Amino acid sequence: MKKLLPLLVLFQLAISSFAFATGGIKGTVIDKNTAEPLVGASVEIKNKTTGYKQTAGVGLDGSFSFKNVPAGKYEIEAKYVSYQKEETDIEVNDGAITNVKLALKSKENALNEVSISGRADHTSDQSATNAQRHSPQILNAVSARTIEVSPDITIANVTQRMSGVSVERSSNGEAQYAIIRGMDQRYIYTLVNGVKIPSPDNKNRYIPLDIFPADIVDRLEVSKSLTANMEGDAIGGAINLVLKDAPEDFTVRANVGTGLAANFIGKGFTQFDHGSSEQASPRADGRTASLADFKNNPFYYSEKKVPLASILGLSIGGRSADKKFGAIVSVSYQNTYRQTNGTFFGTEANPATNEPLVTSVQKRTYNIQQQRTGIVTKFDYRFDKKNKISLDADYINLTQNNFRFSSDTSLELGRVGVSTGRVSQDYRSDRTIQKIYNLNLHGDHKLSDDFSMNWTALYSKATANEPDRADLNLVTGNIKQANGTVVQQPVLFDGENAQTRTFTKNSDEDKTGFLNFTYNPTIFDTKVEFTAGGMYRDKTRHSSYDKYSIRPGLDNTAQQFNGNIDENTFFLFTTQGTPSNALNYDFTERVGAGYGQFKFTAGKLLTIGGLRYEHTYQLWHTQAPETVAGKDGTIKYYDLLPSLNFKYQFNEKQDLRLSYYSAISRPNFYELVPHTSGDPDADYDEEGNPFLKRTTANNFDLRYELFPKALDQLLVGVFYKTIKNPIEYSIEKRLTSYVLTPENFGNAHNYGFELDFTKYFSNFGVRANYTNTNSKITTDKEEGYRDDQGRVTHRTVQQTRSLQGQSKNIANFSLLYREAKSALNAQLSFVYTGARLNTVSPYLDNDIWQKGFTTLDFSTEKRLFKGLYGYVKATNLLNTPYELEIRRPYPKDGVDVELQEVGKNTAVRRDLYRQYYIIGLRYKL
Amino acid sequence: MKTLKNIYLACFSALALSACHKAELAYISPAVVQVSNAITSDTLKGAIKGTMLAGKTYYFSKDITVNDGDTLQMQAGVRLIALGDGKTYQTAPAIIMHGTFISLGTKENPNYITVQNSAALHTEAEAQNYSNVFQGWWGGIICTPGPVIDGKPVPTGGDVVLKWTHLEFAGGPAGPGTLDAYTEGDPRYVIYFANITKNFILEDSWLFGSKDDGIRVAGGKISVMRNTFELCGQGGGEFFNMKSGTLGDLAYNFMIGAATNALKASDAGGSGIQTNVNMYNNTIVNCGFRQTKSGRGGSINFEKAASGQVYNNLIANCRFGLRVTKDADLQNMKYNNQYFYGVTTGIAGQFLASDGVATFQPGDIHSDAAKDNDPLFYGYDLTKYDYVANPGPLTVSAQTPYVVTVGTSNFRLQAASKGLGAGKVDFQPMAAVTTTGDYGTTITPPGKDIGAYQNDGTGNQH
Repeated sequence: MKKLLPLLVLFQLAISSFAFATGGIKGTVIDKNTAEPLVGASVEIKNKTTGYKQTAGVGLDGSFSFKNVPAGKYEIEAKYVSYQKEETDIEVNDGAITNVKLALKSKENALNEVSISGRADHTSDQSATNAQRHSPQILNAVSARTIEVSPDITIANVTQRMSGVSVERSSNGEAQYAIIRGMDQRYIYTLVNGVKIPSPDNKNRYIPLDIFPADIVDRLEVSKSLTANMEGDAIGGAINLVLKDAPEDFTVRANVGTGLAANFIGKGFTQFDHGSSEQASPRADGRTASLADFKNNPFYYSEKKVPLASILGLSIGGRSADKKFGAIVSVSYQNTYRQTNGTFFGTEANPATNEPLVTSVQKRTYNIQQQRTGIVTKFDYRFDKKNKISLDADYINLTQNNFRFSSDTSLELGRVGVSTGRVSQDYRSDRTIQKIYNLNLHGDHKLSDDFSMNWTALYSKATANEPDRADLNLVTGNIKQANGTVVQQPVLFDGENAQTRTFTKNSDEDKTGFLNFTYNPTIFDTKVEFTAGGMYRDKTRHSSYDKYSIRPGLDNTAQQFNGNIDENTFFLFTTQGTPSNALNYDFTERVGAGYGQFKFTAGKLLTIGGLRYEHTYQLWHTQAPETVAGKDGTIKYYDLLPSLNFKYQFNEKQDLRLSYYSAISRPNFYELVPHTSGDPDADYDEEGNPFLKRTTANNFDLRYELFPKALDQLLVGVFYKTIKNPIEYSIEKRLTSYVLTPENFGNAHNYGFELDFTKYFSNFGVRANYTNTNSKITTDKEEGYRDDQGRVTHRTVQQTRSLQGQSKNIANFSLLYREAKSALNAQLSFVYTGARLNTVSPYLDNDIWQKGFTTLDFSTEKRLFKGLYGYVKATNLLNTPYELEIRRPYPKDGVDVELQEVGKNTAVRRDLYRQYYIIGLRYKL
Repeated sequence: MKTLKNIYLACFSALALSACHKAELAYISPAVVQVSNAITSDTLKGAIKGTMLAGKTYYFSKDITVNDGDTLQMQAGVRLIALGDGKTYQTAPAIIMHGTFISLGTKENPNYITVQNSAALHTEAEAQNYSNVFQGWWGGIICTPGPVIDGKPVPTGGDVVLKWTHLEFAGGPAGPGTLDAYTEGDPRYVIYFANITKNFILEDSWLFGSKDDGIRVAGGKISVMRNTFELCGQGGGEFFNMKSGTLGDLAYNFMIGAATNALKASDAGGSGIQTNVNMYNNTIVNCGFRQTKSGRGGSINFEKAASGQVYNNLIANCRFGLRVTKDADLQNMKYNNQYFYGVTTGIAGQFLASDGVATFQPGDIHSDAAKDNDPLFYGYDLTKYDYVANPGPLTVSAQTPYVVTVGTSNFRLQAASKGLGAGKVDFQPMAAVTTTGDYGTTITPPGKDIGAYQNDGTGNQH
C-alpha cells in the first residue's frame, strides 16, 4: 500500500483540478473523412485585437475546452500531425459556452489509394481501434502510442494487457510467450507485417515475443479468429506485429533511457567471462575434443557494481518531395540487467500414499543480462496511383548472458536434523545469441478499377547459438558434529560429473512467396469482393547438440574447490560430444496453400467466407543410430479449412459478429525427432515422438461490439473450440523409468467468455478486460498405493484437467490519465492471471499449479520542452512472486522446512524479481 | 428471426463438416534389426548367436549385438576379449544383449570377459597404479529388450546366466549403440540388466575394475551368489545397484573397495513391481571412501521404497554401515545379525548411517569404540590402513591395493571370531529365480556364521 500512496495522491490532485474547470469554449476535433476523434491534436484560440492567446489539447474522448476566456471574437485553429490545419472564427460571450466542431483533412495524398488501411498516423490509439472495428476477423489491437506510454519495453509484456491474453515468463520474470484464451504458444503464430518469420528457439515454431523491443512496432494486433487468406495454423489466434511505415512528413523520434532493478540496490550484478567461449562445439568443428577446448573462463566471475540499463531508440523517416519514395529506419538497443531469487523444492509422489514428498530445497539466484538490438527498415516506392512496392529489411538480435547459482540441500540424504544434509551446488554460465534476419519485398498493383493484386517474396532466417553452457557441479554437506554444531564440509567436485559443457546451435530458414488477387465486381447491386491466392513456403531447420562431461582430475578425484578453479585439475570424460543424439537433425517443411474468399454486405450484414487448402510435406534426417525408430521420416497431409464470418451492424455504434473457422497446429520439429534428454532443469528425460499427429480444431466466436463515442468501447464475446488431438507433454512409463514426451490426447474442449471495456472521461480513461476460460482434457495418471500384501505398487487412473497454461480467470485493469495541454500521461496497470496448470505430474492429483497473481505497473510521461518528453516506468510494484504449488496438503510427516506448512498446499517454487525502474527522455520531431 | 438463426446454425454445421483434415501419410523409419549370424571365427562382429567353444579365445573390436530370441553361450574356459582403448565409443566395444547370455565357466576352467592387457592391469593395480585400471576399456554388457519391430510388439529380452566368470575393466562413455540403457555420453557399467520378467544369475564370479557402477539391475529376477567384487568405481559408483522391479537374493558375496556402496537397493523408476531383495551373509570391507557426495552410503543401502531383508552381513571398515533412509519401505524391511567393525571412532559412529533410520538390533555385533570386536580374519589386518589420517573422501591413488583388492588376503573367520555361529538361519531366501541346474541358480541358504565364508566350507568358494 505504501507504494500506492503517491500514485493515489497524484490522481487525487488531477481529479480536484478537473472539478474546478469551467470554460468559455468547448468542442471536438475529428478527422474529416472518418469522423474519428483526433486525440492529442492541439487547439489554439487567438483574439486578433487583444492578442489574447490560449492553447488546449484534445483529450482522450476527442474533446477540448477553454475556460475563463474573455468575451470577444476569436480565431480558433486546430493542428495535428499529418493533417492540414483547420481554422474558423468564433465568438465568446460572457458566462456562455460556445460549442465548436473542427474537422481536419488528412494530408495523405491520392497516390495512396492502393493501400487498404490508409496512411494516417498509425501509431495512434484510434488507428488501433479502427483496425479493431474494421477488421474482418475478431481482433484486438494496441497502438504504438499506447505502448510508448505503457510500462512495457518488450512486445511480450505488451501482449498481457490485451483482452484474453496471458503470458508465460522466462526465468528472469520477463514475459516470453503469449497464451491466448488458454491456448499456449503452440497454438498461436506470430507475424511480422502479416507474414510468419521463423523462430530462433529450437523448441518452438514461432518466435518468442521477448526478442522484440517494444518501440519498433507501429501496432500490435491479436486476431482471435482467422479468415481464409490467413495461414491456418493458429487455433488460439495470431499475433501480428505491424512495423512502422514511412511517415508522410520527415519524422525523427529518439528515446534514451536507463533503468535499474530493485534487486541491485546495494549489491552488484555477477557476470561471467564469456570472452573466450567457443562459438561451436569441438565436434561441430570436426574434432575430438581435448580438455584444452574447455577453458575455465565461464567460471571467472566479476561484479558490475551499478548495473544500469541502457535503452536507446531512434527512428527516422520521411518521404521524398514528390512523395513517391518513403523510407523509415528504426534502431533500438536495450541492455538490461535483472536478478531473480528463488526457492525451489524437489518433489516426488510418495509411492505408498501418493502424497507429495518434498525431497530437497534449492536456492537459486539468476543474474541475467539481455541485450536487444533491433534494426527495422522499410522503404516504399509509389510508382503511380496504382502501383506500389515496399521492402522491409529487419535485423533483430537478443543476446543473453545468464549466470545462475543454485544450492540444493537434500531433505533426505545426509539429513540428521534442521539445516543439515547433502548440498549440491551448481554454478552455471550460459550465453545465448538469437538472431533474426528478415527481408520482405511486397508489391501492390491495381490492374483495373475492380481488379487488384499483391505479392510478397520473403526470405528470413533465425539462428540461435548457445555455444557453451557451462555447469560446475559441486558437492558439500552440512554435518552435525558430536557437540551438536553443524559444520559445512569442504566443497568437492561431483566425482562423476564435475563440469557439464553443452553446445546447442540451430538455424531456421524460410523462403516464402505469396500471391493474392482481389476482384470487386458489383453483383445484384451489391459490391462483392472476391479474393484468391496462394502461398508456398520452404522451411529448413538445422539443429546441432553436443554435451561434454568433465570429471575431477584422475590424480585426485577428491580435490577441493576453493573458489579459484585454476587451482583444480580436470579430466575430459566424453571426448566426442553427443553426435548420435537426435537433436542433431535437419528438418524440411514445405507448405503450399491456396484459398478463395468472398466478402459482401447485404443490408446490415457483412459476410466473409472462404476456403483454404494447405498441403504440408515434412522430411527429416537425424543422426540417431538406425536402431532408433524415427531416425528419418516423411509426413504428408493436407487440410481444407473453411471459415465464415458475419458482422451484423445494427447501427454506426454497435454490431454483432459471429465467426467460425477451422484451424490446425503442426507439431514442433523438436517434438517429432526421436531425441532423448534435453532441458537440464527437467525432472525427467525428454523424448521425442515421431508418431505425433497434428492438432485440428473447430472454433466458434460470437462477439457484441459497442462503440458509443470516440475511443470508448465495449466488447462482449463468447467462444468455443473443439480440439482434436491436442498435443500435451505427459510423463510416460518406459520399461523401467518415466520420460516426458509429447502425446496426442483425444479431444479437448475450450470455451469461455470475454469482456473488454474502455471508457474515457476527458482526461481520464479506464480500460478493463476480463476473460473466463475453461478447458477439459482427460489423461492417464498413476496412483501409488499399497496392495493387499502391503507391497508398494501403483495403478493407472484417469484424471480430467485443464489444458497446460490455461487460467480460468484473466483480468486487466488500466487507469489512464492524460492532460493534453501539458502533455502529461500516466498509466497504472493491474494484471490478474488466475491459477493455471504449470506441469503435469505422472501421479494423480500431484500436478503443479502456478498460483494466481496480480502485478501492478506504473508509467508516466510528461512533455518537458517542445518535442522533448520525459518518462518514468516502474514495473512489478507489488513485487509479485512467481509461485508454484501442488494442490495437496503438505503431509504431517513432511520435513519441517521453510515455506511448507502442514495442511496447506505443498509449495514447489517461489521466485522473486522485485521492482524494475526505468527513466528516460523521448524526442519527437 | 428464428429461421435466420436456424439458417446460420445450418451454415455453421455444414462448414464444420466440410473442414477436412487428411490423415497423415507418414513414413517413420523403423528400428533396424540386423540379421544375426552364427559364430564362424574367433572374431565376433555385428549381430551374432551361437556358442563359443570350450577353451578357445574370441575377440570383438566393435559393438556386437544378440537379437531378441537369440542366445550367445560361452562354454567353460572361454576367453572373450574386448579390443579397444576406451578413448572413444568406437574404440570401447560393447555387447548389446537383447537375447539370452550364458557363460558356464567352472572352478577349474573359469571364463573371462576382459581385455587383452588384463594381466598388466592387475600388476599395475598391485603396484597402487590405477590410472589404466580405470580407463573403461570396453563398453560392458547391456541387457535390454530389443527394439519394437513387426512381429515383436512386446520384446522382453532374455536371461543372463554367468557362472565362474571374470568380468573386468569396462566403463567409458556410451555411444549411439547403447541408447536403450544410456544417454549418449553416460558412464557405462560392466553389466546393465533391465529385463524385468527375466532372470539375472551371477554365481561364483569375479568383478574387477569397472569405471563406475559394476552392475546395475533396473528390474529383473536376480540370484547373486558367492561372487567376489573388487575395486569398482573410480570416483563414484556401486558394486551392485538395484532399481525398481528387482526381486531376489544377494548372498555370500565378498566385496572390497567400492567407491560408494557395495549393495544398493531402491525402487526408483516406478516399474510397479516393488524392489524386494534379500542380502545375507555378505562380507563388505573398505567400501565408500571415494564418493565425494555426502549423504551416500558405504556398504548396504536401502532407499526410496525399496524393501527386503538384511541379515548376517559382516561390514568392516566401511565409510558407512547399514543405511536405511526414511523413504525406504520400512514396513517391508527386516534386518538383524550384522557384524560391524570400525578401526576409527568415526567409522564406528556410522555403523548405522546417521541420516538413516535403521537401529541396532539385538543380534547385531557392534561397539562405539574403535577397533572393538575384531572379526579376526585369517589373513587380513584391519588396522593396517590409516583411516584416522584418511577419513575420506579419498582419491583412489591414496588407497593401497591392500584395501581395495583381495590379493593374498584371506577373509575367512578364525575360530575365535565372534561372528561364528552368530548368524540367523531361520529365514528363507526369496528364490525369485526358480530355474535350477546349469542354466539356473544354486542358492546357498542363510548360514550360521556371519559373512561370506562359512566355517564348514560352504558359502563363497573363492
